[in-house]
Amino acid sequence: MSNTIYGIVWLFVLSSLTTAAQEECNTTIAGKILDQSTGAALSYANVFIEESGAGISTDSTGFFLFKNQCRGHLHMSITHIGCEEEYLHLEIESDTLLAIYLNHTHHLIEELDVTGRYEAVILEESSVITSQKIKDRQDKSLGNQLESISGVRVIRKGAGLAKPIVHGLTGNRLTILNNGIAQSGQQWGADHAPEIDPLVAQKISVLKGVGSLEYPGSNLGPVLVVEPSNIKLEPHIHGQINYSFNTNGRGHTINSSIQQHQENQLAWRLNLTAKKSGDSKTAEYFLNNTGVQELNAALQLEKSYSDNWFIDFYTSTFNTEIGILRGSLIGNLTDLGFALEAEEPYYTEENFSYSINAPRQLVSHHLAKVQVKKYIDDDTWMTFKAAFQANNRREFDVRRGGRSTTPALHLLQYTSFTEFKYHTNFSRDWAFKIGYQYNFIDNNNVAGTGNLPLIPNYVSHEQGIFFNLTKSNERLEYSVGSRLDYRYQSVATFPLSGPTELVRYQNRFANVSGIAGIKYLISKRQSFLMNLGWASRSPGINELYSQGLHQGVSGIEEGNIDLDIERSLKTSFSYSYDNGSNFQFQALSYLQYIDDYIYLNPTGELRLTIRGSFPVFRYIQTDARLLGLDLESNIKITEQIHLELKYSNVIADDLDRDLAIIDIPSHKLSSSIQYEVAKAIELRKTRFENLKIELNHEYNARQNRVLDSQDFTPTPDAYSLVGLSVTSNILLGNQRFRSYISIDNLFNVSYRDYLNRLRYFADDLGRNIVVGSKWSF
Amino acid sequence: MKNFIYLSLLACALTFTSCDDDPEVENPEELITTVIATLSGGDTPDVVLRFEDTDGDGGNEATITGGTLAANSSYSLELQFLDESTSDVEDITEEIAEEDDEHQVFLAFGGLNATWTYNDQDGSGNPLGLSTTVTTGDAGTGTLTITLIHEPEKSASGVSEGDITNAGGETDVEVTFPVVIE
Repeated sequence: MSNTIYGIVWLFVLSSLTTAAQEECNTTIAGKILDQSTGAALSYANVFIEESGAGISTDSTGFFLFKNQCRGHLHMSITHIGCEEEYLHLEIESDTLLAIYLNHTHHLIEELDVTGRYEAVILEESSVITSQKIKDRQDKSLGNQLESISGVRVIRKGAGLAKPIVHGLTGNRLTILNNGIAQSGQQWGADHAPEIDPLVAQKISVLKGVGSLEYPGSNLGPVLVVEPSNIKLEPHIHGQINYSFNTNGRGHTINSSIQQHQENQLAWRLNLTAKKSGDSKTAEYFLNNTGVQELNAALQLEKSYSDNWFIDFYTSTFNTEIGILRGSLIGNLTDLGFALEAEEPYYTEENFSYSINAPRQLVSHHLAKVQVKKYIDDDTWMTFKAAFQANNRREFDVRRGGRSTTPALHLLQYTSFTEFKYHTNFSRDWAFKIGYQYNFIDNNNVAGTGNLPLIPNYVSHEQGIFFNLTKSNERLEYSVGSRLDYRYQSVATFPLSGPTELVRYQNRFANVSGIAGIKYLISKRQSFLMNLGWASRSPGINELYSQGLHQGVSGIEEGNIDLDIERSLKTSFSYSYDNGSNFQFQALSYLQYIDDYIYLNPTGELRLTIRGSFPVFRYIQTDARLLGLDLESNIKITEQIHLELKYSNVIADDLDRDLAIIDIPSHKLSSSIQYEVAKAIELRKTRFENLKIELNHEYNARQNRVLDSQDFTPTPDAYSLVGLSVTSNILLGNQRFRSYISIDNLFNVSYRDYLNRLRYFADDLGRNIVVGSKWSF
Repeated sequence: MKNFIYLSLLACALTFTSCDDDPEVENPEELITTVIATLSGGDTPDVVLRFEDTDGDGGNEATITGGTLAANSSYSLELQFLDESTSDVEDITEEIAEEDDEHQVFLAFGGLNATWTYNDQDGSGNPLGLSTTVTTGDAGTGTLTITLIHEPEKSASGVSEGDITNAGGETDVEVTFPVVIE
């Protein structure tokens, strides 16, 4: 559900203290800032009144007091270390006393409905990246943003292309929900990054359990959810502008959002992002032709009728051009051999450039969605969703005869999705949800590439029904659910053997999935969650039909029309402990068996072509086992010093051949120590609030489970990176900014990452300094 | 309630669009199916080495025709690249000659006593290799590998002398012929 607010603030106007003042501007506004979950007073929270430019911090009892404020409209913002910045709009008529609750909690499992009506969700362990964190690193793409979540790693092809891998699953096996709609494009490609602007999102979360059955697509496991928040009720137009510059790639990012929500009126929010960066740099040399350009927009509209009908509309456009390292484009195995030997990639130049030439990708993704929600009563509601997506992907190679400007691959995909969902709560502690979905995909190769299509034209009709039943009482919550899917595909392709003879295939796949979960609150401080899920996945179109040479992979890829459905059994167990003051701990372990796991296997055949010999890879099936552990802990050493530790590892085995599965990350340990200056610092007329200094370190172990014979080169060595960041809210005169400086790879270390597909050719990124500032109005 | 169902049905109907487009036949414009190396010189008749794979990658296997050269002789080697995938045979050699600064041919003898040098240049005075001179030594049996590189770094060390190691670029053609010197 996209209409989710993650309860941050509950505002209670307790009482009006004294009688109305005589003068316009002698009103007193006082209040207390409290932690929502514990009720504890929050000292050193910064309260700012935009109209008067007055800003103060709360005292040790969480108390603040403004004197001589004017009556009428008033915009107040409250910041506290570790919390999201909160804005309030108040109508002040007399002296006022406020009690403001801020939510400090990082881990949110339950959703709140837009109207505050409670909706049970499938029990899931989730990790969340908050809006402030997204905006504090707005230079990062969605994939790179996600990396801060333990258990999430990123498959890269240089700086611009980042694709998340969660619990060892990616591509066709990972569902990404953009605004409640399953992202539909060419997810199969290892170098196809998700076409989503993270800056539109107020929240990015990863549901890490055994899988959610509410969504079409793969139900094998993790679901990645990107969603904007609802538009807050506030009569005036407000917005923010966020600009940042990063030194590595000399990139500029500007993002702006503007919104308004008047009572009983149409609420709207407009979001715009523009990005431009040039050649990124390793510790020693430029990576030529690795620039990125992006231009995105999103419009969100919300309207409610008679308290029972809610309609929201969302449309977005994402457009990007991404350069791919020139030196990574190779012909055959001989070229690869030379490239592996070379110290620096070929075509490395002394000078920086913003220009993007072939090889490059030009990708657009457009989404339009409408959702209607009707409340029958407080416990029963229905939603209807319809969405349309268009994905246009053009990939350009270096070609002869001036054809570098003609795409070598041009795919156009249309997806339409409709959903009907019914939800009811009954006999006090039961919740039931049932839904029907229909997804239609039309995938076309656009003629004129002068290449045989890598994947065929097809249409796919997919229908699914699901239900979920949850019973919850104070300490125990159970949930069961099931899903049935039926997919019909009609495919038209030219086989390699005779490029002029069209071959048609009709596929029918039926999938059954089931899930059961239990959550138990052992005490106020401890809880555990156990899930068991059975799911299956139909083979992807590339796994069935891809054919031809994959640039950069140096191999001939062959689909396999005999592939069968993958079937998975996953169990996950998580435990969390929170002592309520200075120690939090979360552990999540999972074990997943996937029968008939589809993977690309080197056949051992070397096919002789006019361009030399190429190894032939073919999709086949095996039985796989994934075993993993994510750990996360937050320790408050003192009020000012916090320590955060995260660890994740996946062990993935091919049980038939007794080998490790390739392209799976190894151990990662990240730690960060944060020093928070609680008290605001005044320097002349500038006030620095919530100053936070963070030093972080990550250790990535070598993937030594993969044998040298499974790859072209031995896997890269382990590496450690150190980063530093300083964030603060700056009060300058009447204006308030949030500013940040971050340094990645502080010591400019040369390293190569196993999951970066450029590792055969070049080092990974060197030092990068990002400075940025956000201004809200 | 009724309205809601109508609305749902309408949206469903809109999405049931039937689109059964067939892909258009692509003419792989850059395809090279045939390499012909003609060695001529001295009094002997021309030796023609051929590599043909007219249906492109996959499908039928390529046919390779080797040749026999005379010992201690000098030959001029002329290369021809063709696209014979359709009846309308296209001479790719012209395209390569037009973009001479973006292409370079490299020869390599395997197990043979022979040397070679460039006979032609691109517009900037760097070697091209559509025409080369091959000088044979004593008798032997081995191979000749002909490689056509697209966008090589012609200025890199050794490249203009015919050393492929630092050339970079993409291999457009790499074919190996059995060759006998007698």
